[in-house]
Amino acid sequence: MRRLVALAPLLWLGLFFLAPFAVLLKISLSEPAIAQPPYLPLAEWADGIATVTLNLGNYIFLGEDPLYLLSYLSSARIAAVSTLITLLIGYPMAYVIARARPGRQGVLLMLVILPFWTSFLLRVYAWIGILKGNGILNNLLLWLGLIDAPLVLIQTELAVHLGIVYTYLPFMILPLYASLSRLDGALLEAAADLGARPLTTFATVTLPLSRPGIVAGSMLVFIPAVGEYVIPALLGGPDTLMIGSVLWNEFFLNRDWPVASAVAIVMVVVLALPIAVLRRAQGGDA
Amino acid sequence: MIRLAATLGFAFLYAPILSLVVYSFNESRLVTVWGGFSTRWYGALLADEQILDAALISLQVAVASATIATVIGTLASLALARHGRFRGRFLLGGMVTAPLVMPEVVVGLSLLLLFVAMEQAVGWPAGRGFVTIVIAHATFGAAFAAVVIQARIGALDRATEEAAADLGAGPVRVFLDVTLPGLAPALVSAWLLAFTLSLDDVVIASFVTGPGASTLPMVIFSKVRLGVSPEVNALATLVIAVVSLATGLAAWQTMRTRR
Amino acid sequence: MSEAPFVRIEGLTRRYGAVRAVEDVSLDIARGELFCLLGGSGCGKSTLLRMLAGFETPTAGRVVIDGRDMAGVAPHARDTNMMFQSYALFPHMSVARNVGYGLRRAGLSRHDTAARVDEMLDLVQMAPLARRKPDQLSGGQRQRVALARALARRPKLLLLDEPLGALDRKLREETQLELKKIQSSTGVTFVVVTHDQEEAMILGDRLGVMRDGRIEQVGTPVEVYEHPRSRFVAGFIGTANLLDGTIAEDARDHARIACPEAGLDIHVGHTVAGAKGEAVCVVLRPEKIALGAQAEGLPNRVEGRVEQVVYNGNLSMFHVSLPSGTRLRAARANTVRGVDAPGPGEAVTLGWPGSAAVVLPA
Repeated sequence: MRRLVALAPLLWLGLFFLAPFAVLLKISLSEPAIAQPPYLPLAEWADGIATVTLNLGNYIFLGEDPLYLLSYLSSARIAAVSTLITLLIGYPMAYVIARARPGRQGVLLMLVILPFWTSFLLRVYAWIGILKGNGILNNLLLWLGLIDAPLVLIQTELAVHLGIVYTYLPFMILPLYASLSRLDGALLEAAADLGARPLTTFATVTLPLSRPGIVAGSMLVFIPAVGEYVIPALLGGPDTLMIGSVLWNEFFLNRDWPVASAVAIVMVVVLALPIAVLRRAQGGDA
Repeated sequence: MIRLAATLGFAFLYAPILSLVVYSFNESRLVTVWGGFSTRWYGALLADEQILDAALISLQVAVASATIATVIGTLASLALARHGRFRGRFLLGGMVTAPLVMPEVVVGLSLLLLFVAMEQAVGWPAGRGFVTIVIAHATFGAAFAAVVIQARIGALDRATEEAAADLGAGPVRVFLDVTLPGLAPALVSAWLLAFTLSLDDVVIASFVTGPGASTLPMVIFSKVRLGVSPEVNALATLVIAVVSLATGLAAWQTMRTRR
Repeated sequence: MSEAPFVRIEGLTRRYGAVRAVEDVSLDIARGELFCLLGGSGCGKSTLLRMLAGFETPTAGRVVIDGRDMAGVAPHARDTNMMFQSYALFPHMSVARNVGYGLRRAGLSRHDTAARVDEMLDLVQMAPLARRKPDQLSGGQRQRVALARALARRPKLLLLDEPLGALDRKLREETQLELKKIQSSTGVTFVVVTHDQEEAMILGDRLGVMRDGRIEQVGTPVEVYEHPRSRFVAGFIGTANLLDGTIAEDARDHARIACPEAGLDIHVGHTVAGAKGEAVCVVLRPEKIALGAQAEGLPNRVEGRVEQVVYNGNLSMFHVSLPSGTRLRAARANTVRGVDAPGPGEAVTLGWPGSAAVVLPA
């Protein structure tokens, strides 16, 4: 009975989360083929002898074609810039929520989480209507007389940044709020009492003490943003390189499963570092 | 200053949602050009069989996967929080957190490859569709459910369980009488979270689905890739209305019980 | 006592890895007794209590309750009940359902349970609030419910973990007496864990003073206070002056302890254990030291200077420094208002009778 409690989730997650990575690794090492499924088996039985052919060709291919390296770098850059913007927008919001009266904190937090409960896809879609050539924003700017001709906003990297910031803002605010609300108000009073001006208090007390929230929030935005597919697909242009889209295209358009697998494996390896940082920020064990 | 920044932040969160609602009542097909008030797109939406079918599939997938996810998440949380050190603890802890941060494209691709390999090896699952989407959603849903439930288990007073044992309740009774009622609010949130995530997912479902099983997000995604669609605005407005209503009810309920 | 002890604890030990939470504790508790386990935090008193309840498994030793060896008996199968420090009331159940919970588990019918619940709530004067939820109760009310719930099953042994720890001082004093009254009216054997020595003295028929997982001394409050068996117990229970000395003379009806610290040979009105020249520790309670005129004619007298007077309402504590630099504390009851007392800086004579000192091996 007691055993079963741990065994059931171990089995489920082992089969449907861990085992897929083994298969992924295996296929990233096999040779592509025009077959169903489109790759050659790794191990073969011939004349009673098992031969295992490890094929690093897919990885070598990733290194040779600059498209992949550029996509990884571009994804990391877009994710990093978006994370920074999210932090700049999220911090004041989290700060105001944490300093609000206890009764209002709940309401404000609810307002942050509420959009998350509505569809992510629909919220990204909303930006198409806002950003497109004859969209809301262009119409507004024209009406205000700030511009003479519509700006090209959609299918740009800017739009991708906007989409990521908009989608992941709650993931930044919640951990920031968690560290800021734990901050004892007496510490701020003590700093003021000892002669610190508000800005100095912020820089010497509030900011350092909210660091765990900053790290956790940034990683929670950065990590999924690197592998994002939907946002660049809807808001990005043909020159917006992101590795999630590359993987998607390798799989769905080129039907090259081994290369897609290799792209995925490299993505996991690359993300291992920020994931480790996140786990440390969240305090290890869990 | 900082309050102004925060207010602008909230405006940023809600302006796009508001624009969806406003333009869902627009007569014009050109979504962003106002052509007068109309509810014709709601009519069109309710007549769109493709969307309705997909919505039904999505709801079924979400209910099934959220239920499985909550059960697995609960068991995993209990094992991690209450069983001390056991073999596989580290592994379980890792497997419960990793799906939270794994890029969707990776999860989707690797699961699909597993399903294909399994079908080759043992003949199950035969083909892909409803079942494989449910399994995929249940798996990452379980990780999110576990986060919610673990937080609650940590806040439970262990002494109440000991008190029940002390008063003569066996392990099963202790679980039913004390642990489960204590966890109930977290179980509801965990289920709702897994349900929402399932309803929201387009990437993983696209990988692991098969012919005939298109979820609502997949249909919406293929529609909006071609540009804005007033029907989708109407659908979004309905979703927003349902979510707001549910949240309002929940808030009202909490306020009432607190009195 | 001719009958076998009601609770017998033999060589009970609990280790967590290298940490010895409870080490080789042996203890007998009589039927109907109110026994207090007293000690500082981390002394092992709660672990000992939890082993009696069955929540902790002993590393070694055994517990016998009413003739039954409790090894391997799960908490829910024991005739013991516990009142938890946090009270551990079920937050989702009403007061009545909390109190009735154990009765239902024992297989009582709804009807019998309701009757017993009413009886218990009357006992703790909580009947009017039976339908409330725990979070609608004050701290004192929760404490009563927890007590009623633990007593409802008529346990052979009631274990109370810091039962009054969460109450404020005034309420605690009232509740101490009430707890004692309920204990004697129900006749249930109580084992109370507390860190508060005053509470232990008020509540306990006997106390066990614990330190580092071991029992230092077991006895009635009077025995433990008047005849502490170690420096630790003397210092832990009440206030004590501890002086180092050596045995200068040991006769049949008295002894002399050379005490350069105090600047005199202390006259003790009884024989002491130990050979001449052996190092000892002399325990002097402040209230047994007389000041000024009252010190006249006593066999032990020293001169000193008042450093500080702490006025405590019912008594005043005088901190007096002796020529050697040693400080003695002497207490005087403030029985007469406005009586002239020496103030800081004034010279004063201290004195005590031969019966005042307790001599311990150093």
